[in-house]
Amino acid sequence: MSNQALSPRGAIGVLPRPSKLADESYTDFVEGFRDMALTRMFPIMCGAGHEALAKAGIEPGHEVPLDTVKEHFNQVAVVQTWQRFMRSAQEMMWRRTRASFAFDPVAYEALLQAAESKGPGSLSYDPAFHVPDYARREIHLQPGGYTDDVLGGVVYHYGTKIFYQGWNDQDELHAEIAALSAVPADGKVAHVLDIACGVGQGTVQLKARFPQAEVTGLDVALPVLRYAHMRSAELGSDVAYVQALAEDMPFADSSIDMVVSYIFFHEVPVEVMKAILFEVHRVLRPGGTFSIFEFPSHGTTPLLPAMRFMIDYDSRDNCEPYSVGFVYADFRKLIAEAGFAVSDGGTPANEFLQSVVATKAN
Amino acid sequence: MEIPIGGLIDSRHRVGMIIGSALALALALSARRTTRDRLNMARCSPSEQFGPFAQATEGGRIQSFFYSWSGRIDMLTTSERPPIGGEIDGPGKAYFDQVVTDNIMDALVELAAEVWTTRDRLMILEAVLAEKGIDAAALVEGHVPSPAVKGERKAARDAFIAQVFASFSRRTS
Repeated sequence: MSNQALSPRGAIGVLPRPSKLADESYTDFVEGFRDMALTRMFPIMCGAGHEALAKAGIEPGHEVPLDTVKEHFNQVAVVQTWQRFMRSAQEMMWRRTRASFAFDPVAYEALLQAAESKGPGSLSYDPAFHVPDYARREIHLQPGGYTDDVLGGVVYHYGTKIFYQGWNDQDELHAEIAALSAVPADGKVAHVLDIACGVGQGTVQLKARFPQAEVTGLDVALPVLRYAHMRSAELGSDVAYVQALAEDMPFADSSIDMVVSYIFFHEVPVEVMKAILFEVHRVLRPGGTFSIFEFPSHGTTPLLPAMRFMIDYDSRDNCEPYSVGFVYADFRKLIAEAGFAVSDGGTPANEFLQSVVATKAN
Repeated sequence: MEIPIGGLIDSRHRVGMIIGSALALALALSARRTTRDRLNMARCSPSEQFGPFAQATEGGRIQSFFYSWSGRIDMLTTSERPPIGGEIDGPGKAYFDQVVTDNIMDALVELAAEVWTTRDRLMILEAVLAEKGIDAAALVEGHVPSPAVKGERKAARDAFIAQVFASFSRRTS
């Protein structure tokens, strides 16, 4: 990735550099600052919040109503400060990242347009495609979200570089996800589908693992798909990208051998999640596998007040409007209800993620 | 729910001095909480954020992409829609009873980011110059700026101050 229209400072490996060193240093600070808030402040915040509950005579157990938890937590200085720092870091990350890659948006648009007719690989979309309202959120506070900012692809790519704190600069985590994705028992892999593929980091890695297979990346958001195709073509990866809904996919029944999703389901409403599971079951061939790498869902498992406070904060102030529904859903039960046999998948290095393999019966 | 602060303040002037003083304290507390609540209302619901535009563009390709926090930055927009960045633009969120505390926190983090950015650049600069055999420290200490350089430094200083203290203008009450 060295195209000067993407960044006059080129790229390091597969990661474009911000257009100025000052932007790179600034976002580097945000990366470290965020790490401090997450790893050092968060446990202190949790302890202080529980202490505040205890001082008020409330046992900090799972049955305390969320409003009561918030009322007491929000009176504690370190809790207020933690929320301020997390929110400020997220705002700073997006503002500076977008400003840095918006140095010449006309040239960027021209780059995307030119790439659409280039290979290897392809990009398919219908200009009349209607993005459903639920998808048009500024998820994680990203300006325009995935769907509404032409710069969204490169901004998402570099923004998540900061989110991953340097662990995914060269798509290392996506390579691991591709490596852990389950192959059908008969070993036949002719068509692999990456749903909610975003900027195609995982899709390219799936193509690298299965070079003889047809590999498709599907997403609802055109800005990220256009960037994904441009990037894949530059990397020489023959991937077909298509703009479509995961709950209404343009594939025939039983036509796909493997489907993969990575931290996707917590970003759709529960009712849409159910529809997607049934749709994936429809397109998978008998014996086909669906590898799901996702944030934890707890169902009815009791959670301590601090964890519930954090989940609420993330939904409310990090624009994760559907995450609460996902976190408290019985995810594995819903997968089974869509017709799959459910089993544990390979464990990624990031053990925070749940890894599930859903297999369609022969 | 948002409380009309102005209406409460008007009512305060209709009571006597003693009651007014007590009420003023209650109002001050109420106003602080109200301000924080107002800033923290959920902003990514479909109806508030994208509902009207989604209806207006149903069936059509999204074509309006190029916005910045100060408005449009090019002429490629072909349809009307709310500017992007609504989540992080404007007054944002507040977590303290006095929003000035949030503003100070923001300024502190911005300042720290700028300090690191500068230190990072200086480290790189000195390393690059050292590779060329140049003792940058001695040259910098002895530098006498020209009028042009003075002007550039003033402009950069003013931009720096505006960035660090931006929060105090974003959240004003």
